[in-house]
Amino acid sequence: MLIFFLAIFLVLLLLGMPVFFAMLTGPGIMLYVEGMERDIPMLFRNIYNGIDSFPLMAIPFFMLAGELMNQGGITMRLVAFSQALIGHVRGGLAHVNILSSMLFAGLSGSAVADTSALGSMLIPAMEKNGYSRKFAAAITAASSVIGPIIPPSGIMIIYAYTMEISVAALFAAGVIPGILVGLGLMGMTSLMAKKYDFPVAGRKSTPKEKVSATWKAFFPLLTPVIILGGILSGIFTPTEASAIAVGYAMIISLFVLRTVRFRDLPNIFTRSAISSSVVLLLVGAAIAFKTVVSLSHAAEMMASWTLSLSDNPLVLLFLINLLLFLVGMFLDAGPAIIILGPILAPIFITLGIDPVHFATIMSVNLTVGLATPPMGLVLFVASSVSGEKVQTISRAILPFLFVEILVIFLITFIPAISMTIPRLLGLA
Amino acid sequence: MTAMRKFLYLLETFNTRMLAVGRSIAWVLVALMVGTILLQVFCRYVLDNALPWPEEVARAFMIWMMGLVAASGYRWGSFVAIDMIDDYLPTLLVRLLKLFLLALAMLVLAQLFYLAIEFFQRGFRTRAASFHLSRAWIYLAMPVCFGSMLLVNIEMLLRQVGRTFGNEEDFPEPPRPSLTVAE
Repeated sequence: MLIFFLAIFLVLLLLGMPVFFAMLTGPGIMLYVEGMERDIPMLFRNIYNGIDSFPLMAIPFFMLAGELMNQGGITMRLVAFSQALIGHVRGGLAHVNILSSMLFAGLSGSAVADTSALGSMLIPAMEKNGYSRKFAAAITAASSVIGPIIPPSGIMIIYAYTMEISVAALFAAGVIPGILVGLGLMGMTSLMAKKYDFPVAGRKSTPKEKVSATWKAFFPLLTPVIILGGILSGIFTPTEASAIAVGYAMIISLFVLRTVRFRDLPNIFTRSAISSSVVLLLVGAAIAFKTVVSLSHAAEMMASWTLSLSDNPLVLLFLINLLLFLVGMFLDAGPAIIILGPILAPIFITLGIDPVHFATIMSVNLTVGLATPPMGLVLFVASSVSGEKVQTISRAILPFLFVEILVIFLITFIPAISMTIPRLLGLA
Repeated sequence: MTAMRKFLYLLETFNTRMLAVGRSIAWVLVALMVGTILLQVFCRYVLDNALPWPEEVARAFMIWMMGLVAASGYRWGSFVAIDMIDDYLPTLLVRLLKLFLLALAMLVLAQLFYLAIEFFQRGFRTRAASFHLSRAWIYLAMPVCFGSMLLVNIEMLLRQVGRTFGNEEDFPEPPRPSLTVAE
């Protein structure tokens, strides 16, 4: 009977209740109904224990580092650097958009930050250069999903924490899939550039201009080296690396580039405090939810039902990708990972899929969901930045979504894509 | 309806001030969290002398940071929800549904607030592992968090009652604080 908490949870979620409340109401009601009221304080303790975590502190810190970098004119330097490298080819600004997203992904772990930061700069520039506004908005939204795939990644920290796997391993696993998505989008852009005769952004940069753009982007580009280098070499924990990223971003934006003033800091800090408090409560609720999942044997029931469909892991991975893609169309990646991780991951780990491999499949699939209609968050952000209708962007993004779906299946059926780096580093 | 509107106005004013106080402490806590962890890194890697307390202190700052600003996030719609069903139902049904969900959320928050008070009281029995302070003072962030969210929820519920059974324009959203950086 306790298993009915899942049904209540889903109904409340579909009716529009915030995920945090739905995750507590479903289990809470069923514990009362089943006469297990004594377990309710345990739900509360698990919320607190879920939040009281050192690894989780990396979330507010990475959010803050991203805010500082974004505020500090660093986006502009990354775009100028990308332009100097590839701006002269056909479809140059579209390629610049994708490359900038890949570079931005190394600083921030959020697709929304990527869309708003790069979109507000590149969409008007692309329009001026002769691209349609819907195409400019679509490529911005499609490439922004690289943000949470290439580390650092907020979604991966949440997954690693709720499912008790190594953040470093997951970060390492995201590098090649993120680059693959970027290269895939560039490939599709090249095809479209030939077919639709896209403009070039400008003449080829001289070596002097390239050196100048590289120097201006040098300090921002050093951030992922410090973060990833520190974490993957085992020098820092992810939380320490995230605090160092904040310290570094503050030094760069306050003293080197002087694009942020001391009086700007309270608002920047408050914004990241609010965003991270929502995530922290959600993770706390997820830990409480996970307890009821295990009390109700929901994972075991789901496992036996799933295995009754097929016992071939490849068929099940295909089906699970369809399910994740459908969920991603309606729900944000973070909450979706929190809800589905504890239910789905044990099934596939039992079938012999590496936990890091499965985590990568889930993270990439649900991240792509951020750009899928009807509820893709970055589509809405791209729409508000560009002034183009969500429906129009949703149609223009389809060729890029096709590429991203292809990458999801490559990651699913060729484990080496995600597992090579973690294995080489001894993390998986 | 007039009496309710007056009460709502008082509650809105109180909540606006309470949330502003919370936010102005929270950003300092974020700065302290960063400072504490950087100090830990400096002592461990530069001085080769790891301090025992930074990790626990930074966690306490983080819990208080969350407790002080969660209600701000709740009031201005940062809590993720699927609101697709609104497009397919008649307006009155959508309003009633919102009312029902807010009432349910209020019950959850009331229960969480009650449990948080108990949790806070039990905290006096234990002390922090690495510094001399009763854990209750860290746990206090939880009743602050759920208590302030409960007050905001009551405000949202009353506003929704007014919008459902009265004139919608008489119950506007409270002004949102500007957290953008001045150019």
